[in-house]
Amino acid sequence: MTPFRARTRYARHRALALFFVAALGVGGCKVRFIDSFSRESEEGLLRTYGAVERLFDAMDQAVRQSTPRNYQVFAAQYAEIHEMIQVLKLREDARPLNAESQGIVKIIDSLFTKYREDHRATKTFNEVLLGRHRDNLKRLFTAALKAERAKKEPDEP
Amino acid sequence: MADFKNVFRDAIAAAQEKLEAQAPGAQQFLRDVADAHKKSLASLLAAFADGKIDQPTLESELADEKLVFQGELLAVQAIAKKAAQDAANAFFDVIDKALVAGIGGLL
Repeated sequence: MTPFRARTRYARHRALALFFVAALGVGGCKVRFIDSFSRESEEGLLRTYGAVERLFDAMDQAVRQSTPRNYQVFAAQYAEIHEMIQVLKLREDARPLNAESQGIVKIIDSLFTKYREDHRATKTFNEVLLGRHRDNLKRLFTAALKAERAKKEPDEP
Repeated sequence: MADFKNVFRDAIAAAQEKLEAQAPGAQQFLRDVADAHKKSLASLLAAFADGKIDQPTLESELADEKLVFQGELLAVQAIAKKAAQDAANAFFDVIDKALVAGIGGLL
């Protein structure tokens, strides 16, 4: 091989190597199937679940103490939780690669709205179903929290 | 330069390690979800059998139970997606490092 051809070959390899380094610079980005963990979402879920528990506890007390069960007694609490769930929905819907959390919050919204509308329409609530509804919402909030915490990186607190 | 047969073997091992590390947590959650679903159905049917709830209420509660179960399975899906993402990134990290080391030798 002549010195000229050797130099040309070396230059070609060098150019190829530089191309790969540039490509790796772009390819060095991480694969993403799901959004990153959000502390704000986690805290929002916990706050909303706290408000749900307060409502169900108040209804449970109404059963135990035979105090009125009509919707108006609990209307303010229902309204507060409804607002908190709408904020959760808005926040989750704005995040990319977040179909699972969006789906869970949508189910929370539809069940909570159903329970609220039933209470408003019948002007009371069924005490046999009280524990069930409380448990259903607890299971859904647990699922939402699991889905959020699954997004954490191993070194993330 | 690195032998790419070994690089791929290492990359697959790294991905597998990530998947195996996250599998027990996902399996336990799935077991908990299945257990909760089973208990919930049993208590609902018992309430109906005891005459505490009527047929329309049973049907409405069964529809709710289906929704709750769907929500729980969405959480399992999120856990699986994150495990797949971590595995894919562990795989490409090994490949990237080997390529950079190999190309570095040429420069």
